[in-house]
Amino acid sequence: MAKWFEDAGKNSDIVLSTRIRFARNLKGIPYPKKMTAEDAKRVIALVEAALEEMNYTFTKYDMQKLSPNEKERLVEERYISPDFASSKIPSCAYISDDNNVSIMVNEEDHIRIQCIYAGLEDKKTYDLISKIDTYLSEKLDYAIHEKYGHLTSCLTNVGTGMRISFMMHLPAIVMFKASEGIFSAISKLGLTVRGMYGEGTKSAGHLFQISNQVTLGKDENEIINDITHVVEGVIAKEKELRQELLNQKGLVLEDKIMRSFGLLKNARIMQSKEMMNLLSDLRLGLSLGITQNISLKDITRLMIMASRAHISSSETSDAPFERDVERAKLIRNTL
Amino acid sequence: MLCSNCSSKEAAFHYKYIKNGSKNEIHLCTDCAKKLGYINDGELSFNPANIFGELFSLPQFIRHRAPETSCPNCGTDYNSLSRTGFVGCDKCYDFFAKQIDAILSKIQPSTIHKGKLGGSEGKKIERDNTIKGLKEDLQKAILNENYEEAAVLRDKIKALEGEGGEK
Repeated sequence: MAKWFEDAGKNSDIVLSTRIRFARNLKGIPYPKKMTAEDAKRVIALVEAALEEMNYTFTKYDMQKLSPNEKERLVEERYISPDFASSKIPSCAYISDDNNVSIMVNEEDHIRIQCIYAGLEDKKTYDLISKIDTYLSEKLDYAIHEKYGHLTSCLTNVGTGMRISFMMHLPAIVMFKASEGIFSAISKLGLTVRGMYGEGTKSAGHLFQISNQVTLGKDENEIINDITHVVEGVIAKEKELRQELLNQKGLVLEDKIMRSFGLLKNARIMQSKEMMNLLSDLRLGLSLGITQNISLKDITRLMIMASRAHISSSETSDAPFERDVERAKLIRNTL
Repeated sequence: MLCSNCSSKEAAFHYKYIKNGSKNEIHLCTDCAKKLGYINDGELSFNPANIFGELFSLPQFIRHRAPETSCPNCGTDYNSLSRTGFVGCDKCYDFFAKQIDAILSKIQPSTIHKGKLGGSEGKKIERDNTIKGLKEDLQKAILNENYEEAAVLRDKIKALEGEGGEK
């Protein structure tokens, strides 16, 4: 089945993906930062036995056996975290054959379940992760507390252990310099906004991630409804400003987008950051009907397939120039 | 590099941060860093590496009276817990119960879990909480002389307690 970045969902012109993760630990075993290799192997064996009995098939990725490039590819596809890829203790990821679920064992917590879908799909994503969690809670002895709920390694995750995040493309909000005001309002609501690539609000490709901070004192549905409400507000604002941009700058905007298309279509050497910015123009052009020659899915797919580890073969992995040449070739072949 | 506040002593404290989308740097000598509240007795009073910033910095009185002890199960000490927000095992939640409650009440809207739990222990906790709530309702119903409602509540409590096979 298609991976999230090869697919499209609701509001895909603005929301690239919806991701939810649950942090869970097993009772009586020190958390990964304090565990021995023996403890780590024990947790892997327990989780694996539980997954084997499940009516859902997973492929196992042993972090101690994968090459650095293979791990980085999983990071780029967002199935594992960068910290997990550099884990020093025995740790494994299990990715479902339908590519919607990944389970990291011995990341910051013993178990990190994650579900991801393209587009604004909070309900669908929650239903799936909740089903998997309920199943695992019956097979495994979760560390829970009668007052705090799920116990986690970091106190910022205690309670539901849930983090929901939306990856959003917000070029018009950035171009109208409205991001600062909107983002600071969002952070006052107990949510976090950060650039997906690069630091602060100067995110390459105008991509931002909005996620919850609250994990305790509200249940999963309340947390999801609160954040989805805000995300829908941001979508409405972005749509309004995109239209405004078209009305105010019509031909200038069209010129900028078509120039970006021309560069992508013809360049022979392409750095990653430049690609992200040009693809952002293309995505905007597509949503405003200025460009038609590519689909949203293809843009997201290109973003991942042309990222560092994906574009590297074993020969070019340490050669940035060759990578940039390969990247330009892949883009030309796609457009 | 000289301290950017007093311009007389060598800077010993270097802090980079992002504000309103632009990068900023602060270079201070130890005295100025203390005076301006960046460090507390030579120790960082916040954790710049953490995206939640100062959320973990506890009220001063808790910091100063914190016991200099470590969790007997995993060795996590209070200093590292308050600085990073990380515990090492389940037992830390009992050992540092008071301090953890103080941190949680600072970073979360409430310290009582409302979401799903699952598993047999989770179901037992959920059931106990339901029974607790029903018993409170029962008291209220009796006080209000609403005996019909009280009878219904009593039956519900009995049924739930029966499920648990205890109490």
